[in-house]
Amino acid sequence: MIKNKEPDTSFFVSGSSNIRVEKLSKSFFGTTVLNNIDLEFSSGEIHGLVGQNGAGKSTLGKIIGGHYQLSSGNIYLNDQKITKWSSKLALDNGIAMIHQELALVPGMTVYENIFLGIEENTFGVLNKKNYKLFEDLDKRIGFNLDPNKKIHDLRIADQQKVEIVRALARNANVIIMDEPTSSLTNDEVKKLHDLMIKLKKSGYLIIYVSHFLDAILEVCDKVSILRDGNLIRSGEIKNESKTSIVEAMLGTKQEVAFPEKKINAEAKNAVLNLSNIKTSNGVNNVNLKIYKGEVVGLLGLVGSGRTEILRSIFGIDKIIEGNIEFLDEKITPKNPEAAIKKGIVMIPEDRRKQGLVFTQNTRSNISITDLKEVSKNQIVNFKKEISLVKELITLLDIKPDEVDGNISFYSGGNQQKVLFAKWIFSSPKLILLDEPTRGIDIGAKRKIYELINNLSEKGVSILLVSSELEEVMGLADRAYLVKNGETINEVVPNKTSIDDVLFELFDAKKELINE
Amino acid sequence: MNSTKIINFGRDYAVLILIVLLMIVLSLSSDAFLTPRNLLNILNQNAPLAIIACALTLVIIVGGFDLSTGAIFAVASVTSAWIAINYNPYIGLLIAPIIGVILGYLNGIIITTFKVHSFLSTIATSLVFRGLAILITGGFLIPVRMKEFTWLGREKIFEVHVAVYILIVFAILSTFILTRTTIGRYIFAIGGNEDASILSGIKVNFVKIFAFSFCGFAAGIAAAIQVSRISLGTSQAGLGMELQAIAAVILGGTSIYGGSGAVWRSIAGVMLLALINNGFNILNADPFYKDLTTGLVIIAAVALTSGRK
Repeated sequence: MIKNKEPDTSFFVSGSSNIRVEKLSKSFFGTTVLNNIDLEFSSGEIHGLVGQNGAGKSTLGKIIGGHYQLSSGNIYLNDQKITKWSSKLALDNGIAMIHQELALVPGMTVYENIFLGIEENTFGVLNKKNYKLFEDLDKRIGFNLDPNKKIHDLRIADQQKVEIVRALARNANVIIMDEPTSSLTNDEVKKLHDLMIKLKKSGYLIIYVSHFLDAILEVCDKVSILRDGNLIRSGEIKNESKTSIVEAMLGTKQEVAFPEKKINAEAKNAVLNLSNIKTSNGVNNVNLKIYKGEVVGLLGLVGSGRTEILRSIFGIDKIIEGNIEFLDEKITPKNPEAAIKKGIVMIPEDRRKQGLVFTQNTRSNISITDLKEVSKNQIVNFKKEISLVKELITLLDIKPDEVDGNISFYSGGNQQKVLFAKWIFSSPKLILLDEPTRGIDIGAKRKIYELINNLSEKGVSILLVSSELEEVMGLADRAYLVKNGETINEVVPNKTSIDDVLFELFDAKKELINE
Repeated sequence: MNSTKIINFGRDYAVLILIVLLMIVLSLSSDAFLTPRNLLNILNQNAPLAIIACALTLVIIVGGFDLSTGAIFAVASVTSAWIAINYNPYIGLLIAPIIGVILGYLNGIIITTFKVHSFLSTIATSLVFRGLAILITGGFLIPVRMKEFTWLGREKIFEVHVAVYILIVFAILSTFILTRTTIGRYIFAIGGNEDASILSGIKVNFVKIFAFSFCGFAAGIAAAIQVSRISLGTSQAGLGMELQAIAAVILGGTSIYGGSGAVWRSIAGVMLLALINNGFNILNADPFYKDLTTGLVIIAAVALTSGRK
């Protein structure tokens, strides 16, 4: 039986909290993210989940943590089948998840955050603070946190510690960590690893999602490798090496059909030329050039600073050092408005938060970027607006093809097309494209690939960021490898294999495979 | 029409449905209600509030609040009266909307420069403005008994008060700005998704300042009508008016979260509140129940619109 009320401590004393997933599948908007996964996690181990961007490792962690519902299959907790599952139920059953983006209340103290939702109270009135309880917890892992410090005064690494203590305070014995080290220094990573080992020895099960293979190899007992939502293999870490893991992560990819493209990029005048760009937001010595009609990709792992490069060009993040030349003119974009005026636009990755206005209809969303074009004396000419919007709806094959459609009912793919239409409407010269196909179906994907080619054939330059390496390799004329906010190398996708790129990004040696 | 359609219709037009219901009840219970005279009277009496509600609609759609309209109303009233007495009554009337624009502009500047929520900053500025009004009058009333001053609030053209014409023109102007102009489109976009609007290159601060200035402008016009009508400048003018205006806008069905709404809704909201008031008067009902009834009708409207975004 799965309890959904007070966590019963006797439940944990047994010390065994084993999780098994059986034929687990998950799809978002018709796209399969996890496919028939069979996997077992047992207490007292650190179990690594690895894979490329989008392989499904994070999704698997989130399903076990109750943040996502599974589409089909079963989860067993201590051999009992789970019928209902949510993050609350997971927590009640001792499974805590620590997110990449921390989920603490910044304005509250360490103490308050740790006991948030499980405060000791008498008829709803808070009891006096039980510092002893806090100290017991803190001593158990030796963090030496100050209970009265506010979260927003703590460094990210310390905030992470608070998350961990919070998990322990809830009597969790399974902790899922999703890329916990991405914002930590080397020293802090070391400390986190020491802690994980300590927890493991006291019988905890730790599921460690990471793309840092060195870290995985260092602390994990077991590792499971995912590729395209499939489990490739799962086994003891001692049987694996960095090379064997990367090899398994790669596999032989199913060929994604990318439309043929006439290459017309002229390597004469750079449309955009970045030299030694540095920002306050993690971009660190970026050099790149884009020519007219060229599609240039940025290849890098999550957190490598790809999006931040786009943001600096678009005037969102401030540039501290370096030069941007756009059409042979030195520019310092101070905000998006200035960038757009020059003909630089950015299609953001998060269409819900940054892209579309869901209280507005299709027409208003599309024409907003260049309303002046269809207005006279600040008065919008509806006829002109509607005819231009209609053209774009037909060009992009947006369904439903209504000018005044309610976009909140559109599918992800069609919302994405509206987002593209919105930016094409402003006739840009350079498009900064961030994750153009996230969470959309294959048909819409194909349409967007065609559109990208179309635009580049018309002489629009495109700087493309995508977590799907194949996408960058398939669409880009040239690409730069990005690591730690730096452009480290340039590749021509036609002449390079995805394997080579991945080996370089993961810092692994290829010779070993070739023998 | 299936049931979901009826429910959606009810949500979208709750305020109109309530107005119609109330009008039916009132015309059945009193012969004095459904006369052109009474209806025009209601319009005339509520013209100042309705004018403010029209402009406030823009502020609320852009995602803001203006709690200083009552205080702007007071400053504009007393300045208008003071100038009418000391200089010229026509200039006195003209100065009210100008004062309104200036104070509204100040609101906008404070909100966009210091990035404070308009709810807080307009509470603060309302205290400042009200204080200004007291300083201008020195705590006294300023009576203005000049025909050149009182015509605006009292005169009629073709049996209809001048104020009603001003309301009609102002409502059309507000609707036009909101639905036909670029800035109206930006107002909806910012209220719907401010981040996306910034990334779309919209001058967000400019649009917000415009909305608040326009709201101040409306408060100034309303003040001119009212001060002329009662021929008395007082620093206590417009007390509580800001809350009535906000209640009317929300009652009409404009989203409190911004991003959607319409000017006609706000006028309907004002009229709904006015009808309740009028009903008590013509039915000679116990005025002790007036606030209670008004509150209940607001709750009914909110219940009908719940789920509407």
